[in-house]
Amino acid sequence: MKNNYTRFLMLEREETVLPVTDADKASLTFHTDHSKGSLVKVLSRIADGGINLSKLQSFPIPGTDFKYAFHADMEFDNREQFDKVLEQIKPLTEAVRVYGVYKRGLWK
Amino acid sequence: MRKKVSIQGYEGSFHQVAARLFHGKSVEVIPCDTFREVVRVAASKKESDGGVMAIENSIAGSILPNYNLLQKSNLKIAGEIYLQIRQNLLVNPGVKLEDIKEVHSHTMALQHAMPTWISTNGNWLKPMIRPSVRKTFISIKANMWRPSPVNWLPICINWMYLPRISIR
Repeated sequence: MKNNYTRFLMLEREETVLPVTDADKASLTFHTDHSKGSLVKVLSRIADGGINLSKLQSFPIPGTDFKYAFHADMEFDNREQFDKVLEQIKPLTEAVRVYGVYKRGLWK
Repeated sequence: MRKKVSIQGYEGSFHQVAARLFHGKSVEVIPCDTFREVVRVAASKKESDGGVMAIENSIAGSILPNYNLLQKSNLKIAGEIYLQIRQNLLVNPGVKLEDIKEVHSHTMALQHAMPTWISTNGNWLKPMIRPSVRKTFISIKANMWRPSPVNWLPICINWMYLPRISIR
């Protein structure tokens, strides 16, 4: 199969990772209070900020009864755009953790 | 300074290719059997400068346990690499496609490759999952070029590193 691509993450420790100039992608994880419509509110802010949600992955929070956290990958034009949206979604979530802001990889 | 990063798999694995594309050809890889080990070594200041971890594939989908490992670690994402995956069927000299009954490899390689082989061959190939990447790789080196009563030998590895396997 020709269209077979694997995406690899380059992991570094927090103290050694350097800020990336012209970063255009970010990965983060968040969870909401699980109330009605709480996820849609977060996603709306992302869309309104002109950010492309290239990946949204739900995964269970161990120890809860089917409560899910989300992993999101976002693509944008500039860092400011991302920072602005991040500030906007913080009050709509119970926890947000940014894994990294980096340069997106390309595939042919 | 030469970078040292943990990878899942061994010399010749796709993780090594990804590491070299990102960090340059001089990068030193620390082979690990499991993703858990990759993350542990990547987090250790004494052992490495970081790690490389596959997170999703366009055929097999998300590698869900790796999201969990990422979350439990304190690691950061410094970048990403997309790699086109091509699996190769290795056989003993003279073996024809229609002779093949079983394909032995790591589960992920089998997930990538089986649909194509079934459709091109017409035969139902039996996938034989080998749990350890290391053992899969060693089994190529040990058994690959010996005559065998059963044609179980085909296996998938990264074509870029094929010349590294010593062929007598």
